[in-house]
Amino acid sequence: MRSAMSAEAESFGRVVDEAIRSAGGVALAQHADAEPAERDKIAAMLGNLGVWDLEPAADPVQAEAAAAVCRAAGRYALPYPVAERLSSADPARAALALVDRDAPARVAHLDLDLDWQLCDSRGFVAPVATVGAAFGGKLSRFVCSANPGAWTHTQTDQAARLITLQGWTLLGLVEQASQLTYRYVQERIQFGHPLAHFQAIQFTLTDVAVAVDGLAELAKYALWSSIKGGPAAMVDAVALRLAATETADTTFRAGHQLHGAIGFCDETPISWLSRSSQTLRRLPWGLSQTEARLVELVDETTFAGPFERVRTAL
Amino acid sequence: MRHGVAMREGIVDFADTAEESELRSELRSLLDEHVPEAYLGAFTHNENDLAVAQNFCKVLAQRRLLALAWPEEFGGRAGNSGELTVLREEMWARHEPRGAQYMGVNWIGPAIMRFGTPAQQELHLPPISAGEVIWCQGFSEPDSGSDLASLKTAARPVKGGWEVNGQKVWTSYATMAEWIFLLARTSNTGPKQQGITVFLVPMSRPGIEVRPIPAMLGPHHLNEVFLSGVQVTEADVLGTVGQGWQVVREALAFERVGIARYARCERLLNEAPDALGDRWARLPGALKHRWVKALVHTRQARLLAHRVVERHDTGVVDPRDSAAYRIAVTRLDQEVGEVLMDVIGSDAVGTDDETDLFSRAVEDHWRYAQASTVASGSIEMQRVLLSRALLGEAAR
Ligand SMILES: Cc1cc2nc3c(=O)[nH]c(=O)nc-3n(C[C@H](O)[C@H](O)[C@H](O)COP(=O)(O)OP(=O)(O)OC[C@H]3O[C@@H](n4cnc5c(N)ncnc54)[C@H](O)[C@@H]3O)c2cc1C
Repeated sequence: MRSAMSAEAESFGRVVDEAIRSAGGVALAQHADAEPAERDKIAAMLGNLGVWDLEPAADPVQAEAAAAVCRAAGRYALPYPVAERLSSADPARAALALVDRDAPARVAHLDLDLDWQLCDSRGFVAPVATVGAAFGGKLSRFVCSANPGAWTHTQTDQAARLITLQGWTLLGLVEQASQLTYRYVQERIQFGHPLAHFQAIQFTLTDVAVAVDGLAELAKYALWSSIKGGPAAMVDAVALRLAATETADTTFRAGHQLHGAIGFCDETPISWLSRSSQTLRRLPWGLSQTEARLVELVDETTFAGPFERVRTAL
Repeated sequence: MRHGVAMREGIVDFADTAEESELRSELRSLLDEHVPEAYLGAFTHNENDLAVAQNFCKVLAQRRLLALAWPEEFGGRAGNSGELTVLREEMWARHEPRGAQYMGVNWIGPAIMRFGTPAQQELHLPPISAGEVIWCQGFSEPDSGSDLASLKTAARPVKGGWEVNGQKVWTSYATMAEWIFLLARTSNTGPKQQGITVFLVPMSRPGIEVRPIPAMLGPHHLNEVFLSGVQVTEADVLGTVGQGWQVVREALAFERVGIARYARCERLLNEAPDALGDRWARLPGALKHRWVKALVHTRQARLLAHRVVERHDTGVVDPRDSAAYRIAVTRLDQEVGEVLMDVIGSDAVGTDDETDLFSRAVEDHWRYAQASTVASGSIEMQRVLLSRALLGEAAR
């Protein structure tokens, strides 16, 4: 077993992280909120670093690098469809979005001028026929409705990669939100002590840390599985999505609560991280729909592990 | 990649190595051969179960598998941490057929290797690796549980050594143990962590009396050990006098991941659909959601255990890693217990069907899992450790 990613991928992730941070970090979300065209600058910055030259489908180290990039994008709630581009057939100009064919198709950043394709978790893909205007709400600044063109059936590998990379983006979001909360409770003084002095607060944050640590390990597992491909990759990707959604619930609930009133304000990063995590957590499925999909997938195949269910007659 | 180095190297890989999968199959065939399918652990009212464990330890020992990770000179085969992980997983998934002996090989033996004199090593290590001796751990006392360092069992200097008086409690396997790893206070001055000494004492020594405590966990798990006028000498001391706290801390660090609780969770969760047969399809959807979430949490706990082991191998010992793992795995044990009790429905309270092995295993798992967040130190103590790692001085 080797649970460490290649040094090359990790170092590429650090370069991207540093670039996003120097360009403004979470403030980029605020800028794009005011001026949507700011997103083109983000695309150009990532392009200059070589992000759109990555070929995650072709090479395992580049797949790891793509994961590291999505994690970095998540840490700053970067208002850009990084996972969606990196899981498409051609990151240089295309992007892939996950939808549920039984529900209205809603996709964040669909207004960007990219060669968008829609996919579901069963191996269906469709072009985008028409795109509506961005909703512009607090949780849906760049979410647009889409009408799919004709659906065709293919492998699920690409969709599994997308779900996995979105899991890495959520990992970055919860890592940053948890770090901000750990820092805040060490600095904020009430009753003559830092908030971190109180056991109720400590124990709430240990739940966050355990969830985030468990998610980080699971993200690498799903990445490994998506590199191998095949039906197991989709099971493992949806399992990652389940854990990522649960962890986001735990982390942002604690993050909001322990920041007190300041945490709802635009001047705090936790507020931007929280609301931008919503598209990843709700589109196209929330937690219960993700669980339901995983029940189906495990039933159709198995849930891999040393003591997995071995079925003789299927 | 413009910023990457053009070099190919290791990427993530979660598969068993060839050696690990070979070991898994070796262990599985030994288990199939020597451990009955209905076996639910050594600690039942049926003496045959203990006999199964005693025999199985010898079977493992003959192949140098019992103390697999020990150096060859002490009866092991110098297995690596990946193989040790496989051993833990395969054993716990089958209700720990090493019985009480996992404690000797996991941390008592390694502590004697680290702190023992050559004479102590020669006396104790071969019987442990041969599967011939059962140890118990005499730490907790009636007034010293989580606050272990406050322990009062006193070793008073007398001619030729010390005389020990006091009481231990919750001492697992004390009725069957031949030796006790005993913590006693040799000095009352200075901080409470100082002045504690480890003594390695045969349970047959005069003045030791064991009383079993009936409990919902089943027999042998909980006992009282009374010590009155027990004579110990310099030769019984492990490490140096007053070094006990350090010995225990380091010894328990050998127990980085402890019992692989997640392995039995994984096995039982995966057995559920086939064990239930037609009833599986009729389970409420909400219960299947809980079942599938428990599968995901099981995988996470396994990966967290592997992280502790892997980082330890590279020289990183971060209390955060093992505390996070222990919190995850002990909660998992209880989560899986609850989910599976719901899955088996009314069989949860017991069944008169001797052939319903699954329901019996679930009921047993649930009862024992109730103690997982208390045994070996409560989950709250792990939370305290973890919050200090996360929040530093502010958390004190
Ligand atoms: C199955 C089993 C086997 C065991 N085997 C052995 C053995 O072989 N040898 C041995 O020496 N001991 C053994 N023990 C004892 C075990 O180590 C203790 O039970 C454990 O350390 C807790 O001590 P306690 O039971 O006295 O609980 P207490 O310390 O009295 O605590 C009670 C509860 O209060 C809470 N609590 C305590 N302190 C704090 C705090 N500072 N902050 C927040 N919450 C707190 C925790 O929830 C804790 O569970 C065993 C226990 C069990 C259940």
